[in-house]
Amino acid sequence: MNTPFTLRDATPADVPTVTRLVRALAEYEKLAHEAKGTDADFHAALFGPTPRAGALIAEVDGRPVGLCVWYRTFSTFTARHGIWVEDVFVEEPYRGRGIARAMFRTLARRVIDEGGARLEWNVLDWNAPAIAAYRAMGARSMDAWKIQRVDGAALKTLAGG
Amino acid sequence: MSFVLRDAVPADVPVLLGFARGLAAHEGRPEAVTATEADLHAALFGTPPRGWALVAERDGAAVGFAAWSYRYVMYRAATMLYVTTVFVDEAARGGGTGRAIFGELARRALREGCLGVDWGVREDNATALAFYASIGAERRTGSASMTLRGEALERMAAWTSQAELAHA
Repeated sequence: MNTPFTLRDATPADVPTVTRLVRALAEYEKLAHEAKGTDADFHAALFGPTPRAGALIAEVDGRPVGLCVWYRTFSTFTARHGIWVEDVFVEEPYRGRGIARAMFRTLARRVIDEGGARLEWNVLDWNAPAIAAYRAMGARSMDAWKIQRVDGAALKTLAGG
Repeated sequence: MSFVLRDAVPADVPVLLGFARGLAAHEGRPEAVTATEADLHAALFGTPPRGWALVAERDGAAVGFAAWSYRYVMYRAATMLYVTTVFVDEAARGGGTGRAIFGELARRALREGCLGVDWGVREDNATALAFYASIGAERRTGSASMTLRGEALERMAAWTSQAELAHA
């Protein structure tokens, strides 16, 4: 049986963990060359005078194994805010036991408690396991905001053969 | 003729909401504006604020506004000023007000240490796409989001709205 995990808000002492897990996620997403954040950057963003984001840390046996970074968004038309889930990462040996789902649930509860209206995030389109998990969670894709393309054979078909 | 860009104040809320309704109607979705004056007041002037806004005025009358919040791009450790809404009243369009608003947003982004200014645009809004291209915005691949960064951000920040508008 899997050891239970806990979720908590990050504290300044977690900053090196945040940096480590952000880099691990960047490797997984094939964006390692863009992962330039340092401990000082993340300390300022999470705990500086104007915090730009919040972070949840997942722990198993007191060891950090997962990270979720989030911030608040705004809609002029509804005048209600949302929470944008910027990053979710769980170390490979700890996947499949519901840690990411618990992170989304925690943030969903938080945005509702705050009077907000939405939980939103991006997913890389090749990440089929993640997309399937998000569908199971009740998320819908904002397809209206994706680029559409018709080319090759489909273009000829569309043009009437 | 005077032209001023200033931070929104609580007394602007009814005008901002009217502009938001005008924009939603222009986009063919008037039902999208569900906010009340109380909601908008709480969002912009509550503790903590959830959004920020500036107002463009010509001769003392509001002719447009922009609202924004901030996004944090974790893997780049960068804050982006994210523009949620820009609106210029129809009678005031074509006079450089939109450009002046983006110039002010660019200056604000630089002052606050943001990497850039981002916003979304509807794919079918050709007029807006042409305008955004003219101010140096790039379309980010694979999405309908626009971003102003680096030199384009600096150029926009250097836009001296009053001087330009005096010639408009």
